[in-house]
Amino acid sequence: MSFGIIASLILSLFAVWFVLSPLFEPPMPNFAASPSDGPLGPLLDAKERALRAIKDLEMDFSMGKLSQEDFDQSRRTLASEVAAILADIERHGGEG
Amino acid sequence: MVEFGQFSLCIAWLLALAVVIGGGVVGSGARTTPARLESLRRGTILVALTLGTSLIALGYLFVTNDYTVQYVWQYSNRDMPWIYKITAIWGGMDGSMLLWCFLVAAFSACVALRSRVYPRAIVAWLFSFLSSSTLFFTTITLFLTNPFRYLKSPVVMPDGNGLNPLLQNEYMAIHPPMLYLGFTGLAVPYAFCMAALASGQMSNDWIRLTRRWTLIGWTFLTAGIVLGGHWAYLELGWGGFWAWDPVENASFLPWLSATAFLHSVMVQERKGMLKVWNIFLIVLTYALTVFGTFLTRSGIVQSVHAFASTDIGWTFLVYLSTIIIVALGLSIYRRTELKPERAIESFFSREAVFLLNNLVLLSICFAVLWGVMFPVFSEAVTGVKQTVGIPFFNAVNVPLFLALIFLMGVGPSIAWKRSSLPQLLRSFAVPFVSAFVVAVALVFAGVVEFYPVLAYSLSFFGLMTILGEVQRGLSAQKGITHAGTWSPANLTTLWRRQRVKYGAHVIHFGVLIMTVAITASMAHKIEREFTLAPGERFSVGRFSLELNEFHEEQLANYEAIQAHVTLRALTSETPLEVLVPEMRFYRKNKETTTEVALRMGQREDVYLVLAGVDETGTKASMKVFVNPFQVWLWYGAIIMVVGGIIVAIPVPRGAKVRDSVSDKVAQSV
Repeated sequence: MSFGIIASLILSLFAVWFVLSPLFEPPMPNFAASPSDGPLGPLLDAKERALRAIKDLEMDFSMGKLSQEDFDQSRRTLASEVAAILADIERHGGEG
Repeated sequence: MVEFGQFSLCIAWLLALAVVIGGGVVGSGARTTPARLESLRRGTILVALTLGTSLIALGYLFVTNDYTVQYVWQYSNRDMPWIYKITAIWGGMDGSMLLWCFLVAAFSACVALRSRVYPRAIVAWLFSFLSSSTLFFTTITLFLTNPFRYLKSPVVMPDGNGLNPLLQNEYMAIHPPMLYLGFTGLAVPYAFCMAALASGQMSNDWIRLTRRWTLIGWTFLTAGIVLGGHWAYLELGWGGFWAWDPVENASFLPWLSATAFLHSVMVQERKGMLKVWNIFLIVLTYALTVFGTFLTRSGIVQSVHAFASTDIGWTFLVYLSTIIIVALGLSIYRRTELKPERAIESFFSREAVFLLNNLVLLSICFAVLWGVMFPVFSEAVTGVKQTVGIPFFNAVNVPLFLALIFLMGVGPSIAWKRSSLPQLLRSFAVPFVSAFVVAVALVFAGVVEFYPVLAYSLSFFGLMTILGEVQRGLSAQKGITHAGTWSPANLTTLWRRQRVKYGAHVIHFGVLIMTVAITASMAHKIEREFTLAPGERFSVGRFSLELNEFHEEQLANYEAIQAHVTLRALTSETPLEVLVPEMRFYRKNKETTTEVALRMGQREDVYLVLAGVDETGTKASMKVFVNPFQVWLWYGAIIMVVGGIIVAIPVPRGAKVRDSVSDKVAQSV
C-alpha cells in the first residue's frame, strides 16, 4: 500500500471523527444569543439606532456641522423617539 | 502524492456537500442544538484543511518535477527557479481553481472559528451558504479541471513545457493570491446576507458583521488590483498600468460595487434605510466576482490575462443564475422585514450624499460592464465582434470619477439627517476657495486642459475637507475633554474614539494621491520611439539617453540581449543611472519577451523598452516613456490598503463596554 493511500485513509478517518464527535459528546456551551433574537429584536434595534443617531448628532454639532437651531430641533425629535421606544420595550416586558 | 492530493479534494467535496445540506436542515429546523452547530462548524474548518493539504500536494508535485501529472508537465520545467514552480500552481486554470477553492474555504474556516460569538440563529445557514461557494468551486475542480490528472503519454516525459514567460515575474507570487483573496473574501458578506434572509434574523447584527468582512475582502481586492497594475507596468512593456483590459475590468467591477456597499451599509446601520439596496449590492458584488471568474475562464473575451478558452463557462452561468434566483426569492419572501424604517429627510445630508455616491459608483460599474460585454453583444446583434477601447472607458468614466472625488470631499463633512445651507457654505468655504486658487495657479502654470485642472483642484478640495475634518475633530475633542487646549493626547483620543472614521479618511487620502498620479500620467506622459547605435544619444523630457553597448546573456531558462543605456539630465554630463532593458528568448516556450528598465523617481519614472535589434546587431530600436508622478500611484495604493486595515481591525470588546455612549445617552433622554 502506497504512502498516498495510507495518508488518505488516515485523513478520512480523522475527518469522520472530527466532524461527528460533537454529536456524541456531553452537552457543550451554546453559540452566542443575539439580543435581537427574541421578540423584542426590532425594538432593541430601533433603540440602538436612535441612540446612535443622537450620538452622531452631538458629534456633528460639536464639529460645527449643524446650527444650534437644527441641533435643538433634531435632538428633541430623536429624544422623543427614544423615549417612545423605551416605553414600548418596557410595555413588552423588556428592560429599557 | 497524486492519490493523496486527489483524495483530499474528494474529502473536501464530500464535507462541503454535507455542510451545505446539514446547514440547511439544521437552519430550517426548530432546534439548532449546540452539538449540531459544532459539527457543522468543524466540517467547515475541515474543508479548508483538506483543501490545504490538496494544494500542498500539488505544490510538492511541482517542486519534485513530477511530469506524470499533466498540469505539472504543462506549466513547469526543470530549469525554472523554485519560486516560479510554486507560482506555477496558479499559473494555469486547474491549479488556480484549486487555489480559489482553498481560499474560499479558508475564509469560511476563519468565519467558523469566530462563529461562537455570532448570533446562533444565523450560524447554521451561514455555514451552509459559505460551503455552497466552496462546493461550487470544488465541484468544478474535482470533475472538470482536476489538476491531479495523469498525463496521457506512454512514457514519462523528461521535462515540462514551462510557465508562460510573462508569468515568470515575482509579482505573480503575490498578485493572483491577493486578487483571489479579495474575490473569495467577498463570498463571506454574501453568505452572511443569505443566512440572515434565510433565517429571518434581519436585525443590525448581520449587517455589522458583514461590513467588517466586506472591508477585509475589499482591502485584499484593492491590493490585488494594484499589484496587478504594477505587474502590468513592469512586465508588459507598454508604459502603462491599466488598459481597461476585460480581465482587469473583471476585478474592478466587484471592487466598485463593494465600495458602494461599504458606504450605503453605514446608512442602514444608522437609519434602517436602504435594506433592499444593500442586499442588492452584496449579491451584485458576489455575482460580479463569479462573473469575473467566468470571463477569465470562458474565453468569451480576449485578454492578455485570460486563461485558455475552456468549456466550463456554462457552469459559472448556472451558478450565477442560482445566486440571483435564490437571493431574489429570499428577498421577496422577507419583503416585510426589508421595509425601510424612515426616509431621507434632506438632500443636504450625509445619507443623501452616500446614496449619490452609490449611484455614481454603480454608473461606473455599468459603464465598465457594458464596455467588457460590448464585443459579445455586438457579435450577437450584428454578427461582427466589435470592441471598445481605452478612449471609450476614459470618455465615460473620467467625468464620473471626478464626480466621485467631489462627493468624497463633501460626504464626510456634511451632517447626518440634515444640514442647512449657511452651515454648508461655512464648512466648504475654505476647501472651495483653495481648490479655485489651485485651478487658477495651474492655468497660469500652463496646464489648460479641462479635466486635468478639474482633477487636480478637486483632489485639493478633497484634501482640504479631510484636513478640515481632523481640525474640527480636534476642536470638538478639546471641548469634550474640557482641557481647552490642544495636546498630542487629543489626537490619540480622537484616533481611538473615531478610528473607523479616520481610517476612512486615510483611505480617501490614498485615493486623492492616486487621482493626482493617474491624472499626471494621463495628461503629461511623454512617449517616444527611437533607434540608436552605440555612442549615439537621444533626448526626452529633461533627460538624455546614450546607448553604450549590447550584451548577451545565457541563463538556464532563457537567453537575453541587453542594451546598456546611460541616463543623464540634459543639463549635466554626470550619469544618473545605467538602464538595462532586455529582450528574452525562452527556449522551452519559444517565446520572446521584453524586460523593462525603469528608473523610479518621486517626480517621474523613466521607463525604457528594448523593442528590437537590427539584423547587423549594431542598432537598437527603443521606446521610452517619461511618466510623471507614477510612483505616487503606488504610494496612494499603499495608503489605501493601510486605511482598509485600520478600519477592518475589530474594536476590542472591552473598549466597546467602556465607550458605551449609548447608555449615557439613554440615561440623558
